[in-house]
Amino acid sequence: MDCLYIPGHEIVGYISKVGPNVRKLKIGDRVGVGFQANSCGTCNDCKTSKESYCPDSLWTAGGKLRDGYVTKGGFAQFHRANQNFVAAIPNALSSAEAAPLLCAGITVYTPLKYAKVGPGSKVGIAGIGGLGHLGLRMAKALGAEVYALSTSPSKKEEALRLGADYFINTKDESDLKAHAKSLDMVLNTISDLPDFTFLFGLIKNHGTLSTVGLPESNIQVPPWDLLRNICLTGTLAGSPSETQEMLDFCAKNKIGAQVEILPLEKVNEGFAKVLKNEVRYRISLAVNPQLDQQHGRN
Amino acid sequence: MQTQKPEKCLGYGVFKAGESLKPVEFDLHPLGPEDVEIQVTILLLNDSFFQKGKIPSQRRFLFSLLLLLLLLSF
Repeated sequence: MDCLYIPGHEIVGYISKVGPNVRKLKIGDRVGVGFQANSCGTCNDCKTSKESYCPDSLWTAGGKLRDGYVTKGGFAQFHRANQNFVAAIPNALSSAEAAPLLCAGITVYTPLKYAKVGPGSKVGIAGIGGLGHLGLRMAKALGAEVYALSTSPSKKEEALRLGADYFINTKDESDLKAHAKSLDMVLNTISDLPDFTFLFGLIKNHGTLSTVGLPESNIQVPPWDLLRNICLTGTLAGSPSETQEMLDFCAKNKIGAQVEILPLEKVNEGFAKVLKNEVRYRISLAVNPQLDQQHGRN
Repeated sequence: MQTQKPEKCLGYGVFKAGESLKPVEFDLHPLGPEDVEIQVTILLLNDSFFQKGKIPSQRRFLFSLLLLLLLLSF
């Protein structure tokens, strides 16, 4: 039994070999891989381009293939993946800013897309971190009026710089009251938030609360707010086709993740920073940065 | 039937949850007909399983072991 775990998804690199049936990609292409390495291809979700919901989804790192091989993630020189779960990285994005889009980016893009966010929408993004900072930028690029929701007033300036039109201090009762029932949608990216009461309070009748941050415990929901026809939902990243759509959208709107870059050798130092919450907003590991120069990319 | 010798690759990994990542050499999976091999330039550090001190394959291994022990006890 192979118990070696090589972590790492949201991988960007250049194709060095292709199998005989690969038609979509060629050697030298710059590509990316998200959290999912494969799916069954036969279930209803797979047939309707919703592969991330496939019950037999294979993870990029730590997934088990039929032959018993445990998939190895990207903390390595090379990574092998099925062509259908590999996305082309548009020229307008650097490799460093593109990498976190492959999971964090798609995680916030699909809920905004499913809620039909666009011009005229009022959208709140709860949590200004690795996911939230991308949510602010995407919601703004979709044409929405964007509200950053945070318990940290120190993040106000940064949130406005990232695209928020307004900042709501969710610890300030008067701020919450001033914006009560005013938003069409709230996208929650906070993972340690078990009580959704104040988020519901900000949403209009018939609005949407989508959460991609999951607490360890059950979620508390104010029951009477459900009778205002508020849809409480959550999404699991996105399919390969949605990932490509998101990357193209980000390239067109110049949206890249804000990253700190560390060499792969400093991976343990990087994890320590993540656990201490010292990262703004993502750390990317440079495995072989010379590759970008060799291919004339940034 | 000839068995293809696995190709080796260098990476950073762990064998047990809670360990620090160490340089390791591992076997790449044979390239399938629809597979591509990617030379990695950069990737995201975050890995929620690793951060939470859990390893998916190990978790499955322990579950299988537990199931086997249960079956043997009958």
